[in-house]
Amino acid sequence: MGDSYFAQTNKDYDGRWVGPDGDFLIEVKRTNNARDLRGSLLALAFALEKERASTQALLVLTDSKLSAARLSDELAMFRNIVKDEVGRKIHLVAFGEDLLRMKGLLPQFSDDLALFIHDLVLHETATQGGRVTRVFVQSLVVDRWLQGRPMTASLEVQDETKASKPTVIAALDHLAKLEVISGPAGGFSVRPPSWEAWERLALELKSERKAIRFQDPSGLARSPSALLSRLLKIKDRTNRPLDIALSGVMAAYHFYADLNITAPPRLDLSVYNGDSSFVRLLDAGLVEVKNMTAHARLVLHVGRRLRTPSAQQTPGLDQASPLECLADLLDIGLTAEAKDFAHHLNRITTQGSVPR
Amino acid sequence: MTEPDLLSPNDVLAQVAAALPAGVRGNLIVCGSLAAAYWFFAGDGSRAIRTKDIDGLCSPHAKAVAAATAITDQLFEANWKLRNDSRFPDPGKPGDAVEGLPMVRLHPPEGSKWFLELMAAPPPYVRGAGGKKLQAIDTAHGSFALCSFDFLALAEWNPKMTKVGIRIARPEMMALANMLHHPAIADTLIEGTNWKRSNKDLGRVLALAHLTIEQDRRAGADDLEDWPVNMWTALQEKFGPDASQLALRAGAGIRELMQSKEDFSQAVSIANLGLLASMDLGIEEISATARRLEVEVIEELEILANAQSSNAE
Repeated sequence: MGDSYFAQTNKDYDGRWVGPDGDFLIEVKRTNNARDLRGSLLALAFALEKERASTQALLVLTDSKLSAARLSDELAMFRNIVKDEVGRKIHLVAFGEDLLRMKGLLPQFSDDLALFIHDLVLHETATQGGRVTRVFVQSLVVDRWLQGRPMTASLEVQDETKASKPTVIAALDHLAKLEVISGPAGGFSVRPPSWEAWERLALELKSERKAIRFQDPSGLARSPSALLSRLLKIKDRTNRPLDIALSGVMAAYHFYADLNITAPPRLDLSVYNGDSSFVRLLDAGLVEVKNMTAHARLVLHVGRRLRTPSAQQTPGLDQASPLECLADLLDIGLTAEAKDFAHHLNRITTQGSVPR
Repeated sequence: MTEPDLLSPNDVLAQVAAALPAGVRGNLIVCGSLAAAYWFFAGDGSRAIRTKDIDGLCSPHAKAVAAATAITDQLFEANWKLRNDSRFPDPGKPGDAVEGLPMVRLHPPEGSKWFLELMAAPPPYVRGAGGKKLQAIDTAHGSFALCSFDFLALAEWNPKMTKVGIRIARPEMMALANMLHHPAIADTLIEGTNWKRSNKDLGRVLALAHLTIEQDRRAGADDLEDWPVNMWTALQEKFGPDASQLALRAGAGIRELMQSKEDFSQAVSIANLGLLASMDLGIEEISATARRLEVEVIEELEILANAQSSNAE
């Protein structure tokens, strides 16, 4: 499974699983619509034409209300109208809302492939089906500036984010209105955002991510730093590789050691593959709560990754983008501290000394 | 059922220690709720527990009979009284069948509701042999039975010496002994109650874990993390080739308890009347502790046992 990968957004499929007896092209689609389903099957048939004969394809539907019988009928009809050597290599399954069980005509998958499919579905779910949004694009533009390697042209933004042209234009327009960038789309420059702009950018990012809150009903909660220590102990022992970064107050300390918060009230983690199953290993005493006002000990922010992760063998945990930290500070209600943090980011970025 | 006294663990342990003959004090390990209470509350005069029986393990096995005999004689001479038991009103005579002899259960002279019960460290473990064993002791005040259970051997593993000069069993060893003793929820009731014995003993395991976590949080320590390693070491020392098999089945009873709302609720109620008295914890709190116990102790113990099995293959 080492060569398998989640595909970039310009591919005809979402992932490729590299197996000993041939590869699988996998497309994940969130739909209840038979027309979408048929279109996706056809797209996979076209994609297979460019592949070796041993390559097969799999369409995975998520959140689909189509019954197993309907899926079976659709696949049978599709196979009737395409060449047999193509049709028999295309498979169709669907995940329910819980993303736990597959339905459909299940081919004999290896455990590795089944795990890859599950991870791919989680990834696609976490990243809004691979769709790159305006908020993600504007956040990435700001984050690159924070890292001291600002983007300066819409084509560069499009290439970096893989977003559509209209999305890039909308994001740059929005940044221009907030006076975060100035100049033409072909050659703009980024300048330190005002507090109002920072707040707006952070709140938009916050509303795009999904927050999963955990409370400790035992009265014996671990402190955020104890939770982090335990996370470092268990991070290599999870069933699936973690794709997370430290966020919130604890990551903000990394960027601003003098941040005026005596003790972090909770542990914030950005989760980029949608997989929260590691929480059981982290602290099985924690329970997920829907109540936004409840005092959460751990909050996961599920969304798309803004920063490239460190090499896998790097000890410790990566920090999320300062923009994600800022969104978390606002979520906690630490507005004055968030403002101070934002001003600090402006200061050190313009001095060219932002810690990575 | 008579309500047990609220006891100060420091006072009771000091009283027991003072009453013991100096020569055999080192052969007694206090187990059960008093040991746990002393472990967790020794520095807190405001914490008290309810218990009727103070369990004293005479150790090692080879010296158990001699130690128990000396202790029994000295306590009788200091005016300790045999606990009333209609089935065994008087001590037996040498040569009586051991099943017909009373246990050594002695109240202190001032007539408290609590009593000291003597037990013996078990002989080397033999898989499949009966877990409970009785042996007779003949004292100057009559003959008694000493009871031992296989898994009590764990209480002998690295007990802690207290300030009053008597050793107490480690919480994780008492927890493991109870877990191994109850691989499932049985219907056996504690005499005079509608409490299942397994719910009481497995509830004790949860209470020990909860108090350890509480102490960890207070002290910024992580003693619970040491539990699986200590348990695994003790199992290997005490049970040799059977350690893996025992480690792998240790969590079965707790897992069954976690699946049964009714039994879990009863276990929590009983724990609140004993070790957790004055904390009055609810189902949610103890459920969180049970989940932590499963992930951070039971599963870790299983990993250690499985790693040894893999290395052996």
